[in-house]
Amino acid sequence: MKKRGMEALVATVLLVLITIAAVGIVWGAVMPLIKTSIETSQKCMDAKVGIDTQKGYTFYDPVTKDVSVMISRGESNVELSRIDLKITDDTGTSKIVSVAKINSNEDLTVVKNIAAAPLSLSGDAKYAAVIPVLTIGKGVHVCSVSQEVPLS
Amino acid sequence: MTRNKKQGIVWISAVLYILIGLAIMGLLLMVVRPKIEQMRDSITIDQTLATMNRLDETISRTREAPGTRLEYILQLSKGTVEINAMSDRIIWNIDSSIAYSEINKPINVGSIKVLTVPISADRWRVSLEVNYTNMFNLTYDGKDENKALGEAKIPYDLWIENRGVFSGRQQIDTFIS
Repeated sequence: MKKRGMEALVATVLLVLITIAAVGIVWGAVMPLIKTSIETSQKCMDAKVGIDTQKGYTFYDPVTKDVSVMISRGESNVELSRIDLKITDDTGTSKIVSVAKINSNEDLTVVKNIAAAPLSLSGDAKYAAVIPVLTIGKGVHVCSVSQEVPLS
Repeated sequence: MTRNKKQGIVWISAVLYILIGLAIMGLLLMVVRPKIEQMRDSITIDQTLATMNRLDETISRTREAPGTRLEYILQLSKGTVEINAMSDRIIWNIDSSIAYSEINKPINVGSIKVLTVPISADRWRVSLEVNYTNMFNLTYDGKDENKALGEAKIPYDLWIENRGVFSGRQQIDTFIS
């Protein structure tokens, strides 16, 4: 009777220890992933890359089919690998083209012909958006697309 | 007496050895120091040439589309930089203990013109120049005026901005923030 009681206690203690160890392992594996994900999202926001619509360099010329987009960057120390520019035409087709990276407080005007490669869009350009691409360690992380800006 | 004499000889020898050692070191320094200085100057000019190339690349990037405004961190640890907006040129002058190129004969290293002129028997002035006269109108702070930048520990924050085309000529403006 006494022996059976001891066995049950040992089994309970073992179960508790195994549960704690399992939680520890899961915590140790999942937490860095969540942490990295949160940090990367934060870095994407801190990259402060956007399209300037105030200075008059963001527009679309339907005659020449040239699109001019002024990419601006605020005060930021996040290291960019490059910036991708997304152009959407009036048929809803989107194409992405890579442009050079810019540093803190810099502005870069990009002029592209949407009918020519690499964009090769059939319609007229309607929206533009930027996608910051960050350098994370030895790799890169593509951030989500910024808010689309109408081209007029 | 003999013991004192021996001790005196040891001291004289020690002093003589030290003096001979110092003399050898002095001689070595006299010979080696100018060589080290020449090597240092040569490396500095090489680095300056690379810096000028990077500045030229930044200006080329800026020229691609109006509105582009890029920053260039200019570390000016030796020499002077002249943004000559009157003649659309950027000139970097460095005084050197080595004749970097053939004296009084301008040579082109990529887009940079290198000219070495003597300023004394063993000193030369090396000018690294980029000429934009036939390419665009270079301005400083929106005006056609010259700006000289001297040596500084803290780097200059040089901004280059494409202001668009005025009177058929592209205007590239520079300013220090």
